[in-house]
Amino acid sequence: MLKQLIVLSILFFGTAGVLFADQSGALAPLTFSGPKEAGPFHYSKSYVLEKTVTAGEADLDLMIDTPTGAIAVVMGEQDIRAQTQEKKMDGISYFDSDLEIMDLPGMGTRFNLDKMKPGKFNMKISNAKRQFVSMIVVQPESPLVLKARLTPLAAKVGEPITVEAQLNDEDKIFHKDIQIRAKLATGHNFKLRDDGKKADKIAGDGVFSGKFTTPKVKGLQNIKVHLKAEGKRGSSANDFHRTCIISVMVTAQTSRFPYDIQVNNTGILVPVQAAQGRYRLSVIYGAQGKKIAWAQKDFTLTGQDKKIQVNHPRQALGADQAVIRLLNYNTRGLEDEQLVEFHPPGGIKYRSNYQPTLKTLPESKQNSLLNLE
Amino acid sequence: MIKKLFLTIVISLTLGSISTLHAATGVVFVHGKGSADLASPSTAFNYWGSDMIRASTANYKVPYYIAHYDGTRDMEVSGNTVADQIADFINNENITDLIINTHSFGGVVTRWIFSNPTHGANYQTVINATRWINAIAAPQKGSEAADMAGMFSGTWLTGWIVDLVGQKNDSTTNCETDSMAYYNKYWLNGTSGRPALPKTFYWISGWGLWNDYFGAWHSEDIGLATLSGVAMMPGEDDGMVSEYSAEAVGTQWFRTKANHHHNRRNDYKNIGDMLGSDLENTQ
Repeated sequence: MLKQLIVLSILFFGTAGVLFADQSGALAPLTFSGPKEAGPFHYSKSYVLEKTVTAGEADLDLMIDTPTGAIAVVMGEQDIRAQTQEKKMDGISYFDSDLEIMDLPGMGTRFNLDKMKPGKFNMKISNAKRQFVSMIVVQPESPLVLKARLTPLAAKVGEPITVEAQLNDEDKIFHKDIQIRAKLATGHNFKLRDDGKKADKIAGDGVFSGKFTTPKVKGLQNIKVHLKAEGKRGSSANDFHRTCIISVMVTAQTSRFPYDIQVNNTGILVPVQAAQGRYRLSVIYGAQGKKIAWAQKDFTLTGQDKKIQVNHPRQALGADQAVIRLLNYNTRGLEDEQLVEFHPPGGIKYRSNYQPTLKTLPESKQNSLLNLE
Repeated sequence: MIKKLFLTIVISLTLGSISTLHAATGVVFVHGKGSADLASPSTAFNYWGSDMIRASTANYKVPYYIAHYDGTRDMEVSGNTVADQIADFINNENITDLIINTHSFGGVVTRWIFSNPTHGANYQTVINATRWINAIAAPQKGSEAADMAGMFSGTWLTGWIVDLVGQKNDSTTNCETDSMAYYNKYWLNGTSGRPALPKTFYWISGWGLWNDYFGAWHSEDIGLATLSGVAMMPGEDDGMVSEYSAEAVGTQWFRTKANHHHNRRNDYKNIGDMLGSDLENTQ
């Protein structure tokens, strides 16, 4: 039995693979995912208001559904004074240079909206020093969340991207006249639809969809999509706003797999189109729908087509599919990605080689926890 | 024959143990994102503060080095600079047992090095010498605060905030949650479902916000508490990095109430003393 297994192993994964794979290893048996995977979901219970300032003053119309814990922050301005129709509001000014390292204004004035009533109200601000005021309103306890994502997470220039957005409402309150619009930094903007037409799969399911084509970029670029949802909510049909930002990683393609990838007994033979620079081939192996192993090889292209062999690591014994990725070291872009299916000979079944890392702390770190403040 | 083999093994093991006993320990600090001035050694020193460096080195018990790189650049550019600096430190001080303490984006920069050992000439030198990495509040899955910066440079706004704080820089884009989802899928190791890292990362995550605002009136604390609120960070966070993100890579060491401003210093909580405990058995 053991002899048979050894023979089969040599047939399918030649010893060369074990010896010469650049880098490889076992993976935790989590779900295997192929190319074009969706980006992560983003959630928003906030919206942004902007208004022109005249003589240090501006009028802003706020809408809140859940005042508990709600705040409004005037970004980039300290000592802002505010007044509603009923009363003066006390703000807290702050300055933190750490915020500027995230490209956010370090200063601001924060107003607590805890004591406001749900609905629409006017907030007049004064003592503003800039030409425009930008205010972000957040309602952390609101049951209404804008949830959105882009598919795929990574794309090449000129490829289609699907935008999906939905309004989740824990209160199950009927929404009316909902509009969700998407806008790219290029200025291109479009309305998402829930009528089952074009990019939208199912009419009236609450998932609004739209499509756009990725713009031209240099190297690898993060392309942002701003989403703005508005409508009426609840039995009293109060207005609501939500805004959200999501992005897709777009690569200006320099190389690709010009023809079919071949799988042989020792590894995967990958054709790569002529280009210049450092590249990486990355292979993730799967078996029975789970990831099992990885292998990668770095190489340089010097203006000619190449065939690159990535040898099967021993941990990939029994694999029935693999996703192969061509990555550009100079731009960190994803140049090409392809799923390959294959059948292990002789009915070899996958047996996990994955050894989880021990999570115990070394003695010095364990001892230190006694002094943790 | 067997006796000879046995003797050889015993001698090898003994020599190995002796070399371990005489390991030359060193500590390196890798700061997070910030201004271009962080390329200056004095600015990088001030980022940590003298008491943090004193405590983390157990009163200067071992040689240490404070990496300094332009805090506006991405993980690859920063990783190249940091790896070269650390390799020089290793070679100059003959370090064989290196502990790397990172804060915030410094944890991502260091993970880039450990995920791509063939990328830079000095990457493998750093990896080989390293005992482990202590990553304080690293945005390993990105930061919602970085995402928020994108909201204010969008086309629905006038862009005046960009004028106020400068153009969005590469390190902020690197820290966005979508960017990190991409890098964690294609370039970085150590997150769930990805190849393992060659050395252990011990994570330290922050969950406090207001800290000593009500005692010392630090306006930084209210700034971070406000950012945490408006950026809608999921779960607990330190005002800049959510715990789920800081805990996405490596093994838990401890959680701290110190916010993002305090958890790179030894002031509000004893973070530096905790890091210094790594040196308790060092001669």
